[in-house]
Amino acid sequence: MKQQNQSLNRPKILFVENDIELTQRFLQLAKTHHWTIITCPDSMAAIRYLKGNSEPDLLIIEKNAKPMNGFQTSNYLKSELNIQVPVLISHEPNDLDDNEVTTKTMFIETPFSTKSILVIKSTLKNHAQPKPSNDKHYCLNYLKQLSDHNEEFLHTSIQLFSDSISEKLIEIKTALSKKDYKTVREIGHNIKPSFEMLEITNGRDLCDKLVYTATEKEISIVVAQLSTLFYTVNLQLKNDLQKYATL
Amino acid sequence: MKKRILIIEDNPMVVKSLAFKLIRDGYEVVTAADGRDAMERLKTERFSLILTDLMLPFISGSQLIEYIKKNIPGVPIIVLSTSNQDDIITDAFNMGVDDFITKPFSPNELSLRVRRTLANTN
Repeated sequence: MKQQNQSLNRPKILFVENDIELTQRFLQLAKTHHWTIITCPDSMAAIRYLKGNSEPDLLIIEKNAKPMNGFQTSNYLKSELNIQVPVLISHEPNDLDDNEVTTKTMFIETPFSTKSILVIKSTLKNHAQPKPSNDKHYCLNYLKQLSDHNEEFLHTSIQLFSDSISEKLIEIKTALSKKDYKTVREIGHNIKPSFEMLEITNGRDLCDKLVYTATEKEISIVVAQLSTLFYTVNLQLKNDLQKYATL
Repeated sequence: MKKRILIIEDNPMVVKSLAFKLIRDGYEVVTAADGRDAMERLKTERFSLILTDLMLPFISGSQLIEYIKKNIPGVPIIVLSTSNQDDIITDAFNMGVDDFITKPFSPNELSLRVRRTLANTN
């Protein structure tokens, strides 16, 4: 998940802050960066989010978060939920006692400023190590964020992915049989965003290869790889949708 | 009155996402899945903003931009591009488009750019 987010240059940050002004200030500062930011007003909302979604690349949580403070939340995530997300605890200047400062926790001062952005960028960079991948080839985080978890939208989008890519792969194969490589590349260009929206990094890379680098000799191999990948993803999507529907 | 936005894009997932977000932002959205359909609409309907892909069936995005600039020059245009299309984007800017958005778009970025482009036009 992390690799996919990072590969889209869109690291995901879970931001926990009860003060609306501080949240607005942070969002304002962050808007020029390609970050996906999920905001939560308290630590319970953050935990609920983490239980139901993929791990973010960074958690920023206020020291005095409620009902569990930043330190407690950080410990809870690591010990109880086995979530190893890097944590930045936000605090007002001079609001840390010696005991807190000696811990290995990382801190960020409020009010947020351009310096905060540098701290965040550095933390993201330091922790941008690949994680072991899970079996899923796709991820719905982008679509969920875009639609505020609108179920109808998610279902329709998945169906559109399935139907439109099936159709386009048939068109690609027809064009390939006629050695119409221009059309093959144009279709590759057309379907690339669909793979990106489901964060299917391999699919996006294969589309890029199809459009930009594959020679005429290689093109049929890339098409075959793309078809196999789509078949696998489509099967997973159908299974997951069925499970989802029976809940 | 709601601002009308024409989305010209042939990837149905992108269309669905753009329309969903823009309708939520309070705009009226009209879609065209190819250049020919878009051209028909441009000739008969009025829009506050046009979001267009460049590689489209039948009539290309560049031809549409040319038509808009010549016939309805006040209507702002945002180009929908994919990554690795730097040259094409540069050409589009040379033709007078107002902005571009890379697919898949960031939802907040889309809202901001649409709002800003419409504000600049007014």
